[in-house]
Amino acid sequence: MVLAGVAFLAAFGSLLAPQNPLNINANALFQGPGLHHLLGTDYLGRDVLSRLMAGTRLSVLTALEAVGIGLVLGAAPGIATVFLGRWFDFAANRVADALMTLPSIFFVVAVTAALGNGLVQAMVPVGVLLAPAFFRVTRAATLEHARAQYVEAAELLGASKLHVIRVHVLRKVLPNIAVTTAMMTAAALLTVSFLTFLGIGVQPPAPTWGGILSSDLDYLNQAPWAALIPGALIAITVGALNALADAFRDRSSAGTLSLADPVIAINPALERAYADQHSQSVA
Amino acid sequence: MTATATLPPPGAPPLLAMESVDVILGRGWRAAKVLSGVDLRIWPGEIVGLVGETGSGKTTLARTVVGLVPPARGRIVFDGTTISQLRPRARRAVRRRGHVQLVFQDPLRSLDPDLTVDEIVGEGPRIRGEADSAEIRRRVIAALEQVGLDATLLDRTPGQISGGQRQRVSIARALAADPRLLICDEPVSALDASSRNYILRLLQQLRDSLGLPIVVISHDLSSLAGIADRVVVLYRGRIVEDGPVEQVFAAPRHPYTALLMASAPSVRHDRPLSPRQLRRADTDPAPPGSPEACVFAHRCPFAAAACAEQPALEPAGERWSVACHRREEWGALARNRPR
Amino acid sequence: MLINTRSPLPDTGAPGPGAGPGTALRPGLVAGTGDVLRVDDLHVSVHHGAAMAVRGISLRVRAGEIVGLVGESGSGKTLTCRAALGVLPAGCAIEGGTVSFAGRDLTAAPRREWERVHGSGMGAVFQEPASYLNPSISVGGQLTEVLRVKQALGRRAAHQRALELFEAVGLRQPGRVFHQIPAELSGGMLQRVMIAIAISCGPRLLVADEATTALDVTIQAEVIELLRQLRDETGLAVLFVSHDLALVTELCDRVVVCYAGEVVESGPVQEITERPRHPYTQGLLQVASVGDFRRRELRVIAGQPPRVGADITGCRFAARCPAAIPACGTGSVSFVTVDYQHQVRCVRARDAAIAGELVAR
Repeated sequence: MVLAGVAFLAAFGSLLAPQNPLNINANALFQGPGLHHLLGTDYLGRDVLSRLMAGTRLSVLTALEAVGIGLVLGAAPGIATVFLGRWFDFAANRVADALMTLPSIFFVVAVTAALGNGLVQAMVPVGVLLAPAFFRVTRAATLEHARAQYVEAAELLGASKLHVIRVHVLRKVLPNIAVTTAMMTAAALLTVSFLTFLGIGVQPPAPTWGGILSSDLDYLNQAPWAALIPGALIAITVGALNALADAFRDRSSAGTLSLADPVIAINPALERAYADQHSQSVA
Repeated sequence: MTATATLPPPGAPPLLAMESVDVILGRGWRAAKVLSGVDLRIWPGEIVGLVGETGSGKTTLARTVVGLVPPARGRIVFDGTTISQLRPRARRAVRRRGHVQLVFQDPLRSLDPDLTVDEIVGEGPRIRGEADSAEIRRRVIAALEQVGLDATLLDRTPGQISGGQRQRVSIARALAADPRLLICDEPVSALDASSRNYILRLLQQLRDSLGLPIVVISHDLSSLAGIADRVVVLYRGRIVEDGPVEQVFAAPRHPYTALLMASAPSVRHDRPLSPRQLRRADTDPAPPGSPEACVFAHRCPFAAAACAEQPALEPAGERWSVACHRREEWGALARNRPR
Repeated sequence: MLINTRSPLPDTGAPGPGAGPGTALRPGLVAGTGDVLRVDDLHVSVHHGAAMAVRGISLRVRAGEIVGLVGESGSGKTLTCRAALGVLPAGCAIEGGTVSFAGRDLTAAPRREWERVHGSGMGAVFQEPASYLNPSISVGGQLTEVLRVKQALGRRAAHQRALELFEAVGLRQPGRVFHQIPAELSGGMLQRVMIAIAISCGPRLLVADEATTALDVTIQAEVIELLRQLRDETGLAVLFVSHDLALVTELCDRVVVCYAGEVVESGPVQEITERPRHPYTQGLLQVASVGDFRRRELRVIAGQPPRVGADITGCRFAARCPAAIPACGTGSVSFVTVDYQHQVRCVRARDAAIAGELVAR
């Protein structure tokens, strides 16, 4: 539910802001929360609430962009590597290893220095850094299913690798990808906030959660609300994303014939009887 | 039910021929020779029972025939075409023709739990892509009918049907590919006696109505009793006896075959030989320990000096071969041993 | 010539055939009279009371007797066996009836009392020996652990005893096997190790639940010979649970046939084999392995057993019974004695027409 709210804000935030977030009003510095400005104003007199709402969009979208890059760069090779032979797998694994060793902040700084300091440009290296996680997870999940006997049976019928992936593997791997996506979005959001906090990838005065946090941190004494609220927002969203990941995980393992039922577990023959309950035909 | 064995006309070419096949599994220091020098021929229309205990290599043999495992030596010929050592694309083309199909041992693992019965049984025709969906539906229903299941199961998943039904869906999937040879790996091991007989009878009906040769692989004789025309006995990767059922069971020529028969539980306690007469006792002389010794020597109470060399499969009658140096003598020796 | 090596044990207080070398296995053994195990009118519910899986099963095992409990899946034989051992899984409960061991009623006994009985009173072996053994400890170590805990033996004495036990269960080279871990041993050897552990503390009863189902047929024959030998030498009573009637007739003195939670027939093995009175038993005999591997017509018992815990008025086999009459569907069917120690639960138990349908040979 939290995420629905955040998503909504991201989509429509900039339109709904009660006031122009960039409006500098020198007369209204450091006002506490009040009727006119629900969350108060910051050191330049800008309405904090409006800034937050507008900033949501930027932060969230860029995080999603990074995750998207990571997903495409990581998940697709993750599935393919299981089917493309030992050499490809070896090479892909080494590439993933290399990417994982890169120190993230320096890498992002280096890339943005090369490509220019825009938020979009900053998301590309973040996406690249997220890709190995997607790769590892999808590879592990695919391995589990690619050696199954029903895949061998399909091969015996003449199935091509693409058929096997499409019919048998993909739908079993999607839950793992969903879980990873949720977790990586949380990571990306944190990274975006961190980067914008450092001032990388975003030009002021465009509002982002991290940017707001950074710029208002200096004035913690005078206007604590301005800095604390973005921080809280980041923390809550990340927590909600992790909860979503857990929910995905739980749902995907439910619904199978439950051998955790102790009566069945002690006796495979009883499992047959249990399964027989669901059948109506003879023998 | 036909009471006489269906023997192919003499001189007819076999449908499947395995020639001197060796199979090695595992790599490096873990490599093990699972099959040695296997010579096996299957003729059209016969039911062959392949018996082997744990470690005999029987499942590997099934997987080798269908190409899931490449032979290290020897070759496999189906209907005149060598099907071992094919490149992946050619192998896939051969498979799409569906000639040789394998029914796996465990339907819980060999049926995709997320697919419906319709999707599972129709996978072969769909891969071939030569018919439209209505025609494929018809073929699926026909295949299900052949195994005694009806169309109400089409939309169920494997978890929603019973174990016996899953086994039959597995067979239906193989049938839908229009095979010319069917290999069933332990089709009845996990079933009780009545369901076992039902499935065996079903296989026999399939052979009778379609002329389909069937290889039934099992770990004991009771699981293929009653329907096999021919029995092939496998021990540690080698065929030790291969002959017509009536004759082999009336008078087995290999002591291991006799041991299998004697060990099988039965409600009639009238065995010609007891298992103890066919097992090594501590008082028997030690068997030859050479690495080329007969694979059964370490367990054989009749092992002599000659058994230090692996015996070849040699004819012992019409379409009957045995790999035993002492095939003429061990019978009398066994009868003289204490029960 | 029949290979019937069953030695008829006297049902008196005289010491059994334990005077031979077998006494090395069980010092202080007395082959007594009376029932070692007695189950009376047992009712067991499953799924936290949702279904009654066992509906009034009764059986007795006397000292030195091998009793076979036969039935297909869902017949209640496994739950009965677990109840007799006091190890019902979670969600199952005894709703009625009693379980007595050596005259002591243990039905509602606390855990501690059951633990005293386990090992020194009754031992058990199950289907997959590997799953009951620690995969990283040597099998000898696991056996000595039992000996030291249950019998307070010192380390050397336990080691010695372990080797004796391994030899008694037919393991060649016991000294070598002692130091091996389960993964290095075959299924048959592991099952022998389990039997050694089960009899290590000199129990009076051994419960074998599908103990040979996962073994190769040649090894299965060896293990049932071992069980028979243990009984002959030490007077051990055995409750042998299996779905394979042919196997049960090879080993057991008496047979108890279960169907859908009830006992439908029980009696001496010869009676059951030659003069079965219940149509289900007759069906089982017709489909069981008959020791004839040639091509022949294979029989089937039509239909499926009822759902576990299904409520059925009248005979629970009537739906599949070829000899069912309208009277079969009304009221409960009582257990009737038709011959010496031979009882049947069938409305037509005394009907000559049924008795005439013997096993087709």
